[in-house]
Amino acid sequence: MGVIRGEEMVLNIGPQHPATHGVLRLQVKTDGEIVSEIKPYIGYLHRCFEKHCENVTYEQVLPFTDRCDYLASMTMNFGYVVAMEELMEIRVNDRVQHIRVVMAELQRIASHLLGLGAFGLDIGAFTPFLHMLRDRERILDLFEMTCGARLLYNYMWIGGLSHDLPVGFVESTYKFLDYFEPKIDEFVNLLVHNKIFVERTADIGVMPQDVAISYGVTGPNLRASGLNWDLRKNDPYSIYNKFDFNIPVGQGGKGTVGDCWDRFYVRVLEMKESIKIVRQALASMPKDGDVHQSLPKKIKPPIGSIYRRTESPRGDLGYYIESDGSNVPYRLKMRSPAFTALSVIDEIAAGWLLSDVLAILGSLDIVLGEIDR
Amino acid sequence: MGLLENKFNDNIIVEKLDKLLSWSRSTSPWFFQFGTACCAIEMMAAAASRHDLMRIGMIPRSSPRQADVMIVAGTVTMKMALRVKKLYEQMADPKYVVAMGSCATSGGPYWQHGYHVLKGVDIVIPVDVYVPGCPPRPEALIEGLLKLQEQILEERPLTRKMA
Amino acid sequence: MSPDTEKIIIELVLKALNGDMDSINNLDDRVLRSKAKAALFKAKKDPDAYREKYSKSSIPNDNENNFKNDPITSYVLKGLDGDMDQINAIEDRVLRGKVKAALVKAKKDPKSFKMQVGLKEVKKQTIELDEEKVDIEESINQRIKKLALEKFPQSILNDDVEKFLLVDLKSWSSLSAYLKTEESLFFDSLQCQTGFDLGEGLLEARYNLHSMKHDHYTEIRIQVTKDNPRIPSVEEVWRIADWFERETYDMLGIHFDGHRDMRRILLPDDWEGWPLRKDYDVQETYHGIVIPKMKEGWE
Repeated sequence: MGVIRGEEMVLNIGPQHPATHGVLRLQVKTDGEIVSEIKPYIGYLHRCFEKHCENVTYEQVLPFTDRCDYLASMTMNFGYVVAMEELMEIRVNDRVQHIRVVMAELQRIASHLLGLGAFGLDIGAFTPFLHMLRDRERILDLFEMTCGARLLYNYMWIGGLSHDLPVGFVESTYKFLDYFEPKIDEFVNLLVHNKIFVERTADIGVMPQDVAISYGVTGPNLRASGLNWDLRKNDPYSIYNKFDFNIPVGQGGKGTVGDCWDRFYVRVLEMKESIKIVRQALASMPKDGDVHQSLPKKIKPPIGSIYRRTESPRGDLGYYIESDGSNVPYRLKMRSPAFTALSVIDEIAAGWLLSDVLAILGSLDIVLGEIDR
Repeated sequence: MGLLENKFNDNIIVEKLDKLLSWSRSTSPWFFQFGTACCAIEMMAAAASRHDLMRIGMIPRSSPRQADVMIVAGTVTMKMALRVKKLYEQMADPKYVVAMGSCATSGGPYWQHGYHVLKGVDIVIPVDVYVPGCPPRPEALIEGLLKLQEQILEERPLTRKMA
Repeated sequence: MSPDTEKIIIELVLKALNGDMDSINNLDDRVLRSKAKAALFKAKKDPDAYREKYSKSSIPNDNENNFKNDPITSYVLKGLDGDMDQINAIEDRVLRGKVKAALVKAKKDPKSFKMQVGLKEVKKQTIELDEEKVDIEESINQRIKKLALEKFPQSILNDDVEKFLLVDLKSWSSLSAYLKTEESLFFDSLQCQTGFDLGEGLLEARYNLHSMKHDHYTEIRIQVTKDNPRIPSVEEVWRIADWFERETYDMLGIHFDGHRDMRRILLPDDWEGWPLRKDYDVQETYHGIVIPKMKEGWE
């Protein structure tokens, strides 16, 4: 830690702490109120994901990718499957593409709900957390209807899906969307324009654009700093180029551009855009098509490597896959968005009060499973 | 019983002190939310409004010194194992441990090539109830906790144990 | 590029030169679409010369006329379009049965059947298709190679720069700063940094770079030996390299010179060994906890 002055102390937050989102340890140098340096220590959940990938086959890697970011497992599967299908040059039919988009966007709504609820909990608002979890349960009901699991699905397979949509899924989804849209406005009234919430989050933890790009921050955190960059529009994969949706960008609604309030509000607006995409995808979904049509008999990709990024609710998720021609990957690296988001905490949180540090940490929406892999 | 039976009105109950103690302990164990990984999300969902944990008497506490039950939810790694032992020692007696999920029971899906994963949390602390699943549904967790409550009810804390 | 892909691109470009852009825009395959657009850009500089060069090969525009030689294929194509009457009207029972069987097979993947059939006919009829490949305009990797070799001689070590650039160890620190500050390249974000164990005593570090301004990508690889795995650090250029390099050090043992805080990030500080190397053997115990050896199969 270097030289510690007499009035300063070194305080350990974590690894077990109700406000850190998982097992994270922050070593904070403070004089009691103002924080002068923060050092994050990670690795308490390192589960050797990359070593496992070098020893199991390509299909067996899928459940492991689920467990890395457990709040958004559909999008983790999606990223891996898109990368592998590009490496092996497999094309899937339209019905599979539409179902994948529907599932990924529903998962995005569910992940944002939990992230925003946990952020409110860190600030001290307990009620919105319960409301968010109640609405999230209805999305998990839809997923359970399709593939049987509530949290870790293993749904998207290389070349297709594991189950087709059951009877009654489309009607239930429409019912859920009609129920959920007014709830976002209720939530906005409850928390977003709330005076206490604004005082605790506006102008705090401002992240300028060039700092964000240099630290590799992407996703809603980067969009809240004013840059219009979304992989679904700038580097489209699957059939995202057929849908019409906007990209919410932070505009400093209650303070400076790029503060905690902006990061929060961008996620709320993204939920609305996801609802739009789901409606369009359900309306244009082809009625017939076999989801197991393009499943390859043996997965043995050609020799080569690929790096492919997709948009997960936390940022851009990248998979670097190197294959040597056998049915076991030679090396698989997952570039996780929360890893880069956490590395910027020293830059933007030093100099604030101790309670602000936790607010900033909550606004970055990290998941430790993805950081430690 | 025996000599004292039917001598009093209906609003007086005569019972052993042992049973009173274990009954009161079993019906309000406060749990220490030690969530590490994916199972922590199911633990939070179990404490939320659909499957309410508070109706069986369990309240989440963040400090080990205020808790009776430690629910180890999620994978425990080698780096974390030393801290888990410390946290267990900070809890006050009587204390119980529930291992939730496959990772806490025996290493889970990482049993084969996980060099950094502890293959089961019972290597470092003694466990009372194992709840299997990956992740276990909130209903399964509630069943495990009810089993724990039955176990606590069977205890006789004041009786001297014969050898 | 395979010869089949080339022929598809030539056909699409010829159609587009005649004004039909829909066939290119409706392609689902992103890679093919971009290659076709690049070839079209080049062809538009002198459309007549392009047409002369490639129309000699007489690539057919419609499939119907060319299948008089192969009746089964023509009936199947009609059936795929929905016209079953002609098939049902075939009098020869054996031929009708063969056509229906082929139709069932083709319905499973109509697009690839059509492509296969189209190309087979092209192969039969093409006479002189020039050997030279359709030339796409200079790629970003070639541009980087040119600029880098001008400023830092001997820095790029590989000749075929289509997929990646192999950079020399000694020029990496100056080259990285140049890649970020040079206006036409402007690689301002390091997307991913990976370490590899290539076997035979070689380790490799790969950097995936991306430019937000110009929206182009490149990949850079640096090789070192296992005896002396030291690479200059680039954390002053891209701040995220701080944590990426610590992770590569932790997993593979590649030491980055000039890093401000080179220590393990994911594993505990007193862990022994570099786990992602292929010859890694896990240690016996850690602080008294016995670590079982990696199991192979079920025991």
